[in-house]
Amino acid sequence: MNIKKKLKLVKIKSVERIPFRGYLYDATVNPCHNFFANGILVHNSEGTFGRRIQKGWREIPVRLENGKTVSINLQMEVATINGLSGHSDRNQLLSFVNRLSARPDKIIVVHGENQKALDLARTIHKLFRIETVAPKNLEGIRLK
Amino acid sequence: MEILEKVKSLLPKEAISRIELEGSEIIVYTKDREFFKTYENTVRQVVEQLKKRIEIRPENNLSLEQEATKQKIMEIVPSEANIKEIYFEPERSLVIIAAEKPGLVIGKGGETFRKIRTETFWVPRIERVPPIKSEIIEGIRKVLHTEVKFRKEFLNKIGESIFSERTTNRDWIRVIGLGSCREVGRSCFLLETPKSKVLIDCGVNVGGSNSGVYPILATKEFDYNELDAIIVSHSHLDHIGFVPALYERGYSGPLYLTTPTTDLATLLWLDYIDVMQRNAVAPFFTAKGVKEAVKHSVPLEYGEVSDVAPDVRLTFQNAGHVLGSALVHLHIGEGLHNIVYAADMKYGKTPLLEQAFTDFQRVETLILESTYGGVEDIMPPRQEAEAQLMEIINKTMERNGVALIPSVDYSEPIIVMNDKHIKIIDIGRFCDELFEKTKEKWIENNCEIGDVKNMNIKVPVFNPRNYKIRFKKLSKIIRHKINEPLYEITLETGRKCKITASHSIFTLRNGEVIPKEVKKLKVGDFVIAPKEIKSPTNITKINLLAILKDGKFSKRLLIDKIEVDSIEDIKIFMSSLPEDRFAANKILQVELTEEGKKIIKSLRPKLPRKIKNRTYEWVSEKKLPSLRLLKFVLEFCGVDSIAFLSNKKYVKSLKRVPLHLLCERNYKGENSYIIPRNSSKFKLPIILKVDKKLARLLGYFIADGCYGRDTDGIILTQNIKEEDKINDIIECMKSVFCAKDISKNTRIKKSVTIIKGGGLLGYILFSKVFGIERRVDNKRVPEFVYNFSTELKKEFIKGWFLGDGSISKDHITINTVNRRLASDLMYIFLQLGHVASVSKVNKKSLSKRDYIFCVNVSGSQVNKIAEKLGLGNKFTGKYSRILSIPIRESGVLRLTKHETNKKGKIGRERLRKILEKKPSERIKKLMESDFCFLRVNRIERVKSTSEFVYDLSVENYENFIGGFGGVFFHNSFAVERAQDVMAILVENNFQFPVFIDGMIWDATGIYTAYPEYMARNVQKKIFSGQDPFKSEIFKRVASPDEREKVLEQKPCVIISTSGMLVGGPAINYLQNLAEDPKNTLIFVGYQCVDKDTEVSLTNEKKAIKEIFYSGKRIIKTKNIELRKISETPIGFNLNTDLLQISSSNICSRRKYNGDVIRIVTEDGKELFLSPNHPVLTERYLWKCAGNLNPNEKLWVLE
Repeated sequence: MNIKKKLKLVKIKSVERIPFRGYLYDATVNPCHNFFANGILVHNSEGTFGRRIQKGWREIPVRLENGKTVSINLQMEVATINGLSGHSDRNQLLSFVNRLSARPDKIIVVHGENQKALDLARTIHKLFRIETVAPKNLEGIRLK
Repeated sequence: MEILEKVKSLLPKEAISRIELEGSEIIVYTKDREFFKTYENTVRQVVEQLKKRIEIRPENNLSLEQEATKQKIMEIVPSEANIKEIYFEPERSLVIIAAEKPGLVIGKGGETFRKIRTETFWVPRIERVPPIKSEIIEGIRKVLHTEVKFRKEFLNKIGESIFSERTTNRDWIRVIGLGSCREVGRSCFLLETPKSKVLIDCGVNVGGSNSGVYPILATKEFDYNELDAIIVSHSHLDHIGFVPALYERGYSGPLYLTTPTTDLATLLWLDYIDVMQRNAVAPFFTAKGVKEAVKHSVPLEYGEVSDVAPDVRLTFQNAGHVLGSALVHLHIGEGLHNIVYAADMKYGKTPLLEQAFTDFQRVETLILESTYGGVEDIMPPRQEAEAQLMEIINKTMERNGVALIPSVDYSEPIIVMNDKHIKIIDIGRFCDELFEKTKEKWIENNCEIGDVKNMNIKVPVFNPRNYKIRFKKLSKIIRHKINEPLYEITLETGRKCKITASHSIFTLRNGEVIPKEVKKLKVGDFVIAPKEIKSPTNITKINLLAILKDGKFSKRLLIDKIEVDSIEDIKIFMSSLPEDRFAANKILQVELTEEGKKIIKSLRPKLPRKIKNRTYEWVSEKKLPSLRLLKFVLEFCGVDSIAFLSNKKYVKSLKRVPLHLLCERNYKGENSYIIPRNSSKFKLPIILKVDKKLARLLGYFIADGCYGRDTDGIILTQNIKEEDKINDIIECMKSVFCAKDISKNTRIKKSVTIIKGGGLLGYILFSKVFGIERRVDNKRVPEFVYNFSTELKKEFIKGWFLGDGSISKDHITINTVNRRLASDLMYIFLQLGHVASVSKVNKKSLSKRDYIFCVNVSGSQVNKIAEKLGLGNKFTGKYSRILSIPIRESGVLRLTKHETNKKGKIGRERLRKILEKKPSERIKKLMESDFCFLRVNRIERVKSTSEFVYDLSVENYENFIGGFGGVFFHNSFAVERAQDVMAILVENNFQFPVFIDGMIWDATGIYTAYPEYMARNVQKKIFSGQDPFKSEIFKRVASPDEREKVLEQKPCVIISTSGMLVGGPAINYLQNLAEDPKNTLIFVGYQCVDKDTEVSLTNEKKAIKEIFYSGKRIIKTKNIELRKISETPIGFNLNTDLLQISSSNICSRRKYNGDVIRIVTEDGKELFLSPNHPVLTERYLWKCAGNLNPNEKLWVLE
């Protein structure tokens, strides 16, 4: 269900650090996570373990195989390395299309988030003047 | 069938016995030996004409016997090929040869292969036996082999269907996306052509829930029975996950994939079932489905063209994404249309794979992935990423190894154990000496580093898991020029230490021992220090001969009584007699036995009178014969002197042997004594037994001893009234120097008694053997003392205490004017398990110096020491400030103020009682540790005493200040990344062990089976015998026990599987490694994109706290509580710019102690956040609250 867009940008007046002791609350929304706190859009906590760590959680409840839950106090360094993916990044995708020895008449863009698929389809069309489609599931595309 | 007829007509009729189909391949069986040997040219022409694959096989009756064939093959194939197994599939006239080096079985240009075929009349198939054993590969090969009958029929059926004349009412080509359109996961496409239907990929969405997991198969167009083939691009679950389920639901057609994909897919399928079961979720397919899929698989190589349906021709080409991943090229009709399906493709080189293939003859339609197709999805270049990876790993490894003690000033004393002997030495002197000695040294980052691993020097380090102190081998010493300020830290015990600013020192915080940089250290922090250092060895004997042999005194000392046991000795002694007759008579005297005397007696008549008289003295035992004279006598009478002297019958012992003569022969006589040349009043045994009296005398001497002239030896001046003490000293001296009496000189005027003893021996013993300096300023505690047994150390302290100490109700104090002596004494107390403190006291009344150092042991320790020293047990000290535990820093128990002292510490006894009521593991660990926790009293910037600062480094996990290290990989569900990481490590010459856990090892085995699918440079390496996966650094972890061992083995790299979300090995590792800041967790290549695109909001404005309490608790731990809430929040979809309602929500709260960020916006909205909480800023960028600046813009709800 979609609701009419009701967002606006507002300048921050002040940011300050205050010592605090007590409970902090967070909401986790499935799938994925965020909420408006006092009307301001904030990121919230998220389900998967690895993502939580990457997001900077340092106290993580973990379910062990025996069903018990323990809390791990994460002190170790956490690093994420991006360039080792087995997927092509945007530039590589574009140069793949460019380098194909036979130029396709039509490119169907799939396997990507909504926005990313559209982005790529748009760019390929702009750059190479090839007809592109980013179909939705169940959409049939006639080739001949 | 038309095609078969054609083939028949084109080949010589008489040779053909029957024609069959195996998929799109036409198999011609022949009964003609000659034709089978020479068919190649004929068949090539037919193949070119028909554009179909044809294979000629002999009928079974032509083939050689199986055993004979085996022998023949072994003869033909060079033994280096390492054939592991040969087995037969007579149904298809195939012989399968499994070899480690298949290249050799094929031979140059296929020569060996052809030879096998023509000589055995079997068609050989060659399999590679992977160097790393893979159960999956073995399992699959076994299934395919045992099901050979089924396979034959199945393949024939496919072939018939491919070559059938089929007509449908379709005249279009259409692609329908059944999944993975505008999403990631569950890839599945249905291709309809005029004559057939083909499914490309059939995956699941691993991260998805409910309806989003499987591809949408409920459409009208999809029908299991109409499907001609499934083509799978690669082995990831989002492309293959649903395939076994299709077989379980009734599909029975072929599955086209590359060979590595079959193996990897099977591995992942089975793992998926395992994970699901472990998660108590029923998997949607079982192992049966997996087996069916394997049975129906038709493997193809890259570039191999194969018909898969009446009007569809398939070619796989490398996609560069994972081993065996393929771009799917489909040729439809005869030149009607060409499709390339490029899902999950890498157009760029990776460590193991070539970049994707682009050289297609024709492409009309390209189906392209867009996982990272977004505007911002630009990845750093591979080299950069690899460099980053190596940097992180190396940093972790280094962090792990470096720093036993942080860079410290030259003059800092350290405890080292060299060859089981403990000594305390200035680190500077110690390192400089080692730098001289070691050959392996180099310069790195302006640091001089020396490798001393082989020297077997040990230093105390602590085990971060139980906080116990142990001695571990020193591996490296480091020194560098001072490049930053040096700080002197003074602890509450008065102990000081000089450390460079950026080095870390271990402090107590929240009950954990964590490192803190010295420049960040504050007065009032609690630093950990050892409470007790147990010394593992005890000295009970000192070999004086070994110590004195080279000294200048060796010529002035003689040895009394030596039993001669070899001719050599006598020869040496005889040859070393001095020229001077007088001198020669004074040394080396011979003690004769009765037998010996008898012989001398019998010789007497022959001798001249002058000597005759002498011999009388010898016989009547008035004097001992000197060796010189005796020799003369014997030779005069014609007796063999050497034989006589070396005979035990005649000679009892030698006396007054010069000490230096014995040195060469390592003499260890228990009964021999050292005496000075000119006096025999005092003597010392060669093997000096360290007993209580000696230890006590050392204590007395350290307290107030000094050296006199040679004849005086050591002098102890005591107050005339302390008769007990004076008598004790005399007793000790008598025992040590084996003297009958000791001179005592009382000077009533000064009311002192002066005790002198030992003579030259006393001087030598204390100054040379124990190395005690003459002046009190330079005195140090002898190294031997650190190696004394506890009993003797007590005696030593007792002596010292009686000399210089005092005791009160709850204090034992020993005074000294020498700071180093004070420090030494503290170390001895430490070895005894007591923590002493030192203070500098100004005393104007002292004439020479205006201060003294008081070494003080207080509190409950007094009772114990007093008891040990035999001072009685009337002492009442109870509370030991130094041993108490700073409870505030322990962060667990909350106590009222009156329960602790002013500095926030609590006594151990009281804490123990409290713990009985409120148990706490953390505090218990602290209490049982070998640490005490000392407050930092002062931090000062100081000048260094030398131009260098020093570091020691201990390899492996226990570092004095180090925790243990290790890199921990979270290899999130893309299996192939592990192999990439492995390849990168090998390429970078990584030297530490790398542990491979979970199914990654299996997957690696599969990688090693298919080198031809990898990049050319990798292939080259493998074929030249440098298989990166065979590197010694990789170690398999198969069982939980081994996992335990891995955790002991630091530093190392652990590569573990995706178990992260569901338990399994990764959790185990994380639990053990997470809490040490020295470790690193590395995420490599997420396969899934970040899906944090939605935002939520409560419907009505309700405080989050209220929402939280309205929910149902799911998890509660000490710090985090999760609750499931029923509210329906609203999210914001960044892609559509729309607000959305989402469902199924969890609310959490955690205890937090630290700063929060208060944000106030211009329209008056106020928000408190933890500093790392992201908020959305202007350009749709998430930014941590802590990094926000005023005037930035935030998205808010109108």
